[in-house]
Amino acid sequence: MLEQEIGIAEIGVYIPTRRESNHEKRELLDVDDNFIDNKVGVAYVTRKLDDEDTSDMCVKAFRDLAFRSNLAPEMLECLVVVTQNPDGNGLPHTSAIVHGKLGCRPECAAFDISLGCSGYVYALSIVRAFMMQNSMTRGVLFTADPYSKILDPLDRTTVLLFGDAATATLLSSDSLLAPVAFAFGTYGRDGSVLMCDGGVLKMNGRDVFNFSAREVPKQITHLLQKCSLSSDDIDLFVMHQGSRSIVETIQRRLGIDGRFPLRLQEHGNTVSSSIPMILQDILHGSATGTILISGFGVGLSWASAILRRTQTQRSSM
Amino acid sequence: MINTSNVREALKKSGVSIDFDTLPEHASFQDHELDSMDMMNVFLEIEEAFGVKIPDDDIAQLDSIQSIISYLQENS
Repeated sequence: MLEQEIGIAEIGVYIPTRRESNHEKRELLDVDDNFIDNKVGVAYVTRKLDDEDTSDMCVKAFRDLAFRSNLAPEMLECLVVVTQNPDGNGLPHTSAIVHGKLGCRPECAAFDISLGCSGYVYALSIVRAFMMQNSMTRGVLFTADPYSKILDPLDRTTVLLFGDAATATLLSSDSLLAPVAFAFGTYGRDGSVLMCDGGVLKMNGRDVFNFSAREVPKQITHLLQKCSLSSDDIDLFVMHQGSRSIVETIQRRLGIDGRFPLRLQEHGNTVSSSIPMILQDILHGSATGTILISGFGVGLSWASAILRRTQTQRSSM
Repeated sequence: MINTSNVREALKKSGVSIDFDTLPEHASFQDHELDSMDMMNVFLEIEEAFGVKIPDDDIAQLDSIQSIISYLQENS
């Protein structure tokens, strides 16, 4: 049986209304406005509500997706959640909890993927292959990784950076963007530079910065060569929004002008949600025919993919 | 080769908005408002240009072009 090509059809986003001003933390954390605005690039970090758990954030992202696509829960054949901050201790898996809260059919497959900032790119490959292998035509890939659960409010390395958000990507055979190539990477031996220790996030900012600045441009260059493309062939480079500084450093080291969107000022680094949040903004625009996405972070783990526009408007839903 | 000119060339690649061609060798980076993320870019370029790994514990002492030159000469 011919496998139907699966791609990105629509994206829903949930951003909590609660947020904290980084500028108000200047004195507490001994930072200045220039650092906040021009280096971290985050004026506000969003925080999930006290009565919200990871699964609830997914449900709210799904509501936005459903509004944009007329998708109903009973249509889903596959439901995947990318998170490393699940509901409770992770048993049951958060995707199963979401499945229950949405009222999906028993035949709907549900599983979690434990990845952070590289998670959306990895998950696109995994879920797409899973769906195509099993002749599925409608699945939803969620990203929801509320780091507010593990942040130290006095650690300026992390508390100024990370924000909570969730996304829901409809993967279907009637898509707008289709992945054409992927590249993956892992440095497990260096994982301790970004880890959860005793329930608190600990990050060596310099080591994570160096890893990202060195490995991401190399992987992007390799992926372009593998696809016989040059950087001129890419309309948009959508980087994981680690910080304004790292996105600009990657851009500079690749020697590319423009085409590197920044979207973190109003909510922070939302981990695996940062890439799909930008994709939602450009999903329906014809100006972006070829997009390169790249996620990098905890693991250490990194992954990049090239997406091609298949159509500007979906025929169904 | 470790000299002022080569160190300045490496520093210029860091993308930091300071004129490394004219910055005096003993001028403090901190006094010229380079922050921690600027310094990450600075040390990344120095490490790559001169093939050294600068441990976190050594960072604090490297606050000028001259201190970087001395460090590289001692540790290359």
